[in-house]
Amino acid sequence: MRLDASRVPTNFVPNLPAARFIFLTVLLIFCALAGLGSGGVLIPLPDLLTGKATYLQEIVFLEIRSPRVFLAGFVGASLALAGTVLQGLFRNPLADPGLIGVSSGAAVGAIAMIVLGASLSIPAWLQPYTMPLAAITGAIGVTLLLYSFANYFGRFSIVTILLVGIAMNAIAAVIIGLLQYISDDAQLRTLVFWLMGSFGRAQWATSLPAVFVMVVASIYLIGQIRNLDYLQLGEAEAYFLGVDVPRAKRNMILWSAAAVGAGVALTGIIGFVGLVVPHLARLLLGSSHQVTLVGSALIGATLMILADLVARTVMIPEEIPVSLVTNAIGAPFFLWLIARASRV
Amino acid sequence: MSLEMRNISYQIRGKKLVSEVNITVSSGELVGLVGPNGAGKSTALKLMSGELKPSFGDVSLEGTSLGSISPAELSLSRSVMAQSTNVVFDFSVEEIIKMGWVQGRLVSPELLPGAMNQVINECGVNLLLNRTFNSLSGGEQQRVQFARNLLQLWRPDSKRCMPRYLLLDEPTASLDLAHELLLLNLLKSAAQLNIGVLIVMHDLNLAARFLDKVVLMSQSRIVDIGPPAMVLTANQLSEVYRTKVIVEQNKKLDRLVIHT
Repeated sequence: MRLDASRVPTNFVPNLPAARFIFLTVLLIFCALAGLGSGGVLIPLPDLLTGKATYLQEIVFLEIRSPRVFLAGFVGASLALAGTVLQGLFRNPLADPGLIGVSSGAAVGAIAMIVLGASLSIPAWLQPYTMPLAAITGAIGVTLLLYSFANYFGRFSIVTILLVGIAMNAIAAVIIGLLQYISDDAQLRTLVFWLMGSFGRAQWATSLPAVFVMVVASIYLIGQIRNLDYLQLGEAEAYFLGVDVPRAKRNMILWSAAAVGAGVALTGIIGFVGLVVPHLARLLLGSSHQVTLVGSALIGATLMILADLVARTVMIPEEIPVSLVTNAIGAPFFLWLIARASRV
Repeated sequence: MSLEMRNISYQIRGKKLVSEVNITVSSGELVGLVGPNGAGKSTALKLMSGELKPSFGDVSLEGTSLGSISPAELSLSRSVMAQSTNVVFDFSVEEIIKMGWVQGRLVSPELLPGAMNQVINECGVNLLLNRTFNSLSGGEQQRVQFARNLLQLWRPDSKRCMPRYLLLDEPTASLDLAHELLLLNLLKSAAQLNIGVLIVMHDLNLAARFLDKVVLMSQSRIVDIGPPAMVLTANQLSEVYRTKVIVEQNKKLDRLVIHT
């Protein structure tokens, strides 16, 4: 039996489906441009370059539209990337950033600030940062708590993490419920909208530091290609292939939390992207993390920019929460995935 | 040049799974663990591989305790084939085998295609290459995993490289008789390339035919250790397996034949 020459692998890095990556990148650029141009104020992008744009159009473009599309892109990419990493790490197609307590931790922090913030005397210059800082603190706090509990109870086994995650989410729900109960009407409205997610609050001053954290975390996570691939064979096999498994698990969970926490802190909770995009990436590109990590980041960014565009244009001048859009797209897609899987 | 477990005991919740076990696997040696179910063979193999940490005693590679060798370093000198592997997402057979290539630091990546080609041919998995791992039968999956293990220990010059060890837990459990024979012959050639092999197996006839050294285990302890003809005796086997075992020297085949 001779091996047919075309089957002989030529390199460790397989021939990436380069054409699909180029297509995804072009699609992302196209959607970003569409997102920058459309909205309550229509901005023909060529006019900005030729100087034909009005002052209003320029201001809207620079101070409102750009930070918003920019943030949406990075939050989408981070959520999708963290989802792919966690699904790979847990070897479970249902894993989602919400599972490790990041989102509920961020929600506790942000809502505590909405309800209790007024009673603290915070200097004016710090005001725009208080919500994000509180949310990040909550996200990191809950993740660390989850991490140390899981470590203590079950030597950091995947099942323990899932179970402790459920308990943590329940405790967070109790705290949030309590805060909702003591909040006044205006606070209640603010926190409900926060929980539904929106890019409406995006400004350069808060977006840039958050994006910096997301980029650093994403670079770390994308560097985990081999470890994640090896982990697909099981934790023991990954160890036999040279992975320091406890360390890899710990770092991947904490960096995923950082990537998600930084975004959630500014935008509120946005569902389904972290769960569904990794599946979409696998469907389009294959299962190896050599393609799914970067692929899901590209798809996540594209989808989030589109979802935000829909959220702010579907009933101009009103704006609906972006989570309504992502859930409306994500849930049916998820059902389709289940149907597809059970057909096999 | 050896992988060695000295005076190892392992207990979990007060129950001893392995008691005071000493096993040495030298370079180029084919060593087998045999014994009834629950004798502690797989646990002994897991202790040898570093997957489990012993409660007492020490496992050492070339005299260095396993605990003080990093996983990455360890992966360059020992490869382990578990009983079965469950892969959740759809990976192709080629991707799975290629995961065995961990020697990037030591060996030029230009040699990978040749090495892949060689292990794929040797293990006869050419025709499975483009299928997904999950669509394979249990036996086919074992052959693919075996190919991955061989790739992990592949070196361009097996005379001049650091010692390598291959540990396998019932690698022939789902294989048909032809592939079982193929695998054991491949292990024999691996041993000729100076690889030390430790294998858990149930087929005593194949053990008698292929192994250099047999470790007979029962009730978490080693009963006897030595060349097959010395260890696999009718009395000893009958006692360990609690059933009448007959051992004969077959003149025509010139080997031991063991049956019940």
